Amino acid sequence: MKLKKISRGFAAFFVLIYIAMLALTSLAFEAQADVNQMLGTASYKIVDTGDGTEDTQYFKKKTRSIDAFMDQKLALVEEIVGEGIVLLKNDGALPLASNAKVTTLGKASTALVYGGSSGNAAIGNPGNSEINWTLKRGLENAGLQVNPSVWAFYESQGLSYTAEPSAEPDPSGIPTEDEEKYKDAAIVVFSRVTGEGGDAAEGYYELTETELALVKHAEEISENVIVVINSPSAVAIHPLVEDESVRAILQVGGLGARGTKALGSVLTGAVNPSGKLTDIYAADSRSSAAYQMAGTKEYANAAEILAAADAALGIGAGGTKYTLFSEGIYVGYKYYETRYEDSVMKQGNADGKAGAFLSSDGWNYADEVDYSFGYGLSYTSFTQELQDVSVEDGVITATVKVTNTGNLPGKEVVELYVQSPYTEYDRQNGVEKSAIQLVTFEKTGLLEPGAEETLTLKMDAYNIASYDAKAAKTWILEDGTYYFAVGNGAHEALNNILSAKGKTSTDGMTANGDASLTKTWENPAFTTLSNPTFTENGFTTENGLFHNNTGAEITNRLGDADPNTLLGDHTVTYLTRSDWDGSWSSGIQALTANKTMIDHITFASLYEKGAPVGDMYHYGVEGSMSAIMAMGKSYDDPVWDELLDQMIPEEMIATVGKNFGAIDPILAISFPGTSDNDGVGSGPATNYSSEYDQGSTVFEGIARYSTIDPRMYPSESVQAATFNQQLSYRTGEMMSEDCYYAGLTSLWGPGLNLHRHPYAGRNFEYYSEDSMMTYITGAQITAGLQSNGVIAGPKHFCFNDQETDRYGFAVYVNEQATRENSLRGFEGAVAVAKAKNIMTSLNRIGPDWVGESDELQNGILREEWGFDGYTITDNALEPYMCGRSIAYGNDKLMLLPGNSRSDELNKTALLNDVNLFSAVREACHRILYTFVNSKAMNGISSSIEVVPVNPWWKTALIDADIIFGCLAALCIVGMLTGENKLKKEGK
Amino acid sequence: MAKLLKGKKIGAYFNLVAAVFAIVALIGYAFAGQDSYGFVPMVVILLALGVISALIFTWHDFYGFGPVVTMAFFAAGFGVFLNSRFMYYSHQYYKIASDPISAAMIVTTIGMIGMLLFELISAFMSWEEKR
Repeated sequence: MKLKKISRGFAAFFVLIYIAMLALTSLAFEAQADVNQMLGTASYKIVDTGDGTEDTQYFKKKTRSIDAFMDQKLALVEEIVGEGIVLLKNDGALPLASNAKVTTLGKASTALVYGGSSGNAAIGNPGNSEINWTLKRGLENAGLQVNPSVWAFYESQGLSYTAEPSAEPDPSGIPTEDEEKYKDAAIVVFSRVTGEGGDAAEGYYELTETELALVKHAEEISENVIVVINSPSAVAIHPLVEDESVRAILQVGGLGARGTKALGSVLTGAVNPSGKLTDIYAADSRSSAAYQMAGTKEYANAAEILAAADAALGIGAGGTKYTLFSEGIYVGYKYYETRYEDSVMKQGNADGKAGAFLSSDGWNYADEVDYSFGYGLSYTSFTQELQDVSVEDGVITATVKVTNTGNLPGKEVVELYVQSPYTEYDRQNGVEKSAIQLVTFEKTGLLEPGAEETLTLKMDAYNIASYDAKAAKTWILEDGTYYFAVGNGAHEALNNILSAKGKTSTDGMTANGDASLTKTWENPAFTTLSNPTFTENGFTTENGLFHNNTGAEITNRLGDADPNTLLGDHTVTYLTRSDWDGSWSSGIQALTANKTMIDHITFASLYEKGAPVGDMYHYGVEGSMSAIMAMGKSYDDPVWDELLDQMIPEEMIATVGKNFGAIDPILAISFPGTSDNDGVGSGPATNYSSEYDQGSTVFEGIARYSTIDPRMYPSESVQAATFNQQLSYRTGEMMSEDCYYAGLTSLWGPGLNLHRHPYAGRNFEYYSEDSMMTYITGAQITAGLQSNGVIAGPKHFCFNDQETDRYGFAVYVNEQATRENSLRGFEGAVAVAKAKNIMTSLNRIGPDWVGESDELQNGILREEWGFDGYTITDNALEPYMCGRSIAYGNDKLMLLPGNSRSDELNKTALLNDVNLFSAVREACHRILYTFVNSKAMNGISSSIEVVPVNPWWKTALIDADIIFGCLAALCIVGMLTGENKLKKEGK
Repeated sequence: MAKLLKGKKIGAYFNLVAAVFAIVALIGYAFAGQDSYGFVPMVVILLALGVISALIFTWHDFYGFGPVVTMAFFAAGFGVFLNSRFMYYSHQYYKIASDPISAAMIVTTIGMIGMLLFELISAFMSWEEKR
């Protein structure tokens, strides 16, 4: 009886375990490349049939050991944050004496924001203070002494860094016993953080009553109240700007692993702050033109769309929704500054009430903006002299002399801006012009007091052209006067231009400008740039960033993203400087999708199946070609056809439609496969390889590197705030080195979408609200990342500027805004830095999903920008991210375990549809062309064969299946034995 | 029901509780399966077979195989469910899901876990007076 009961119990238990193991085995085998990546194993081995003397390390690590690398990486993180902290206000409170006794206040003081709150770009090693230094450790490292009882109070709250602002503890509970001893300064830390998958709720970037009460409490503790804003997005800090008792304000985004060390150095003056704002700091976080259209709206006929949707493909969770970029080109500072110029020039109803949030009587810049884009202070002072600006052979060249006129050493940023003429032609043809636009920037070295440095800034004149979608249908440089200016931020530069135009504060300017910091260039004739030729072209670390020549015609391609094209003129209104008051958005309108739009939204009429493949293509051909033979060959070399002919359909399908972060080995051509993962902002989203598991000398108490997450870099907004191009390039190089230690072939980053407004969930993964900042920094990081055989995958191409309803929502926008804003960053990474991989986004452009947009992927990306790498989708969770997208220029689907596209991507379907077959073959060509010229080929030579093996985990899983199956069977036998025994005993 | 439970011991009651949890999971999944992560009919089939098996073996525990057969159906249903929902949990963990955590999925998850737990407990107990 007892035997039977126990046997029965264990039989049920082992049946459960056995079936669970079978499920796990099936999942792991399906995603073997991803599992291999996680465990550092391989499903293949390399057999060398040669003499083994050939050097097959085509790309080599640059550091001698992982400890040496880690030292360099942490020093770089510290350097980025040191240069990316922005000093917004300083009434003599900073720098602090190095032995000052300070009280730190605010829930964020013990729960800092190191990166974003979720997704693969979040900071690694959360809670590990050995890696991610606390604020206390950073301050004490700089010599400051921290109030222990107040620190303990906040620690005892146990609040997460993601806690809402409303969780800020009431200041009345803060212990007071040590206040007298630690009153040299009261450092108040406020944070805001968002992440992947959602946008911030309205009002999130406003200060709460409790936070303002905390500032008052700080003012009672010390005369030196210093506020640190720890947020990748701009926070509305107007009350602090106005409060004279707040004597200093610093801004910094996600701090990265050693950011607090840099913060301590900045507070004590060991590092002189030199960062500049990458987003405008508006007095009200909801006052931007773009925010008026935040979120999504459902189509008026959403039910009709759902009814028309193909049940198998679906349309995505956000497929019945859309947003409109009604702000046109006026994102961020371009809106505030252009409206400011027009208010000074008394044109375009700029001082109307529409869009006025804090202005009492009509829109007023001084009331609406606290700090402009590009603004930032130093502990020393500098003068800049704009010596010369020329535009020759399509290149703008500016020479600027910078002199340190203060008493401390420091670095200074030179920001070059332009104002293009806003003409009658523009008004007639709907071309918008920002009154001020960043052209480029450079940073000096460390200048001692009295020292000077002359910087030369260069940029393609193409980048100051305007896109005319109506008349010229391409880029135009109008005839007239172009004003170039430098200044501490966009607003000061604009004031300098207004001064050159004869305007003063009596005309309504916020301050008088300096006309000597402006130069003009007269363009004698209206020029179109439909097929521009770039005299200096390509990227070099010495010469800078220049567009590569492609010879392709640039013309309208995204008209179908504009409701005025799809549904008729005047369906929607875009913001125009010819009438600010009349064109200000009053919210998203409910559009009714017409039949054509519904067909596109539901994928009904896009794809045409071809004839059976027959003998039109070869596949599975027995041959002796191996992938390494194509290394260094041009994309059109015949060797590629021979290689592709050897691949069997199953291998073709696996290459384009399997795995999340890896490509399987292709045995037919001895291609070893790849290991790819996210790497935007914070670093590679995988652990270091166990190959480097010797005891770390860098981190106390951490013995194995494989337990360490490489995601230690600060958020992208901090990188951009350095305004240091060379530092960005070095960051790319360092991330490339990271990939060697983490075993990655490619890194999906950098993030090149825009901060359209503060509330977008993934702003921490993107650089700025400005497209040229994104163009420049993105290109530098990409070039650095790809400098040593690693593939960069900038993302999310494109218009992924919000997270709400991201799976399938549509973006409606006019072509000028796409060209000058959203696409610009990607253009820099591709057309300048030659990125080899692009990750497409989950959303639609107009009614078409981006991954099915021929115009975006083939027209703009490949033809106009000369992209010769491969595209990969973002996480293809939803079925609308379908196999047939490969026929529209998508190359690879990113699929998690358990997610496949076997309905469309199977051998039978492929061989019965030559259109799909040829598209998949071409996608394989692009993928192989990319990786055959990368570090993926390290260890591979022509005498080498890639042969399949079972990694240990496969053997272990199969063994476990057998063992648990046997145990279940054994228990069942035990049960039967017990049953027989009972029968024999007559029970 | 009284007839069905006549002469039954605690194990059978636990088995029935497991079946109730399975029904809860089925109802939850009917709603949860409508989200973008999809609905897999095989989950329903296997859980339904498990419930039927639980009822039959409660009526009479043939050869004492009640918990083994029922567990096989429940575990297989759970396995298929987990395979198809792996991404759901993964995305929720990383906070990148396209659908928010829904009450239906919470109910389904609790139902599945309860079903397996109670069936496992029941397997270590007697179901009938005679056994």
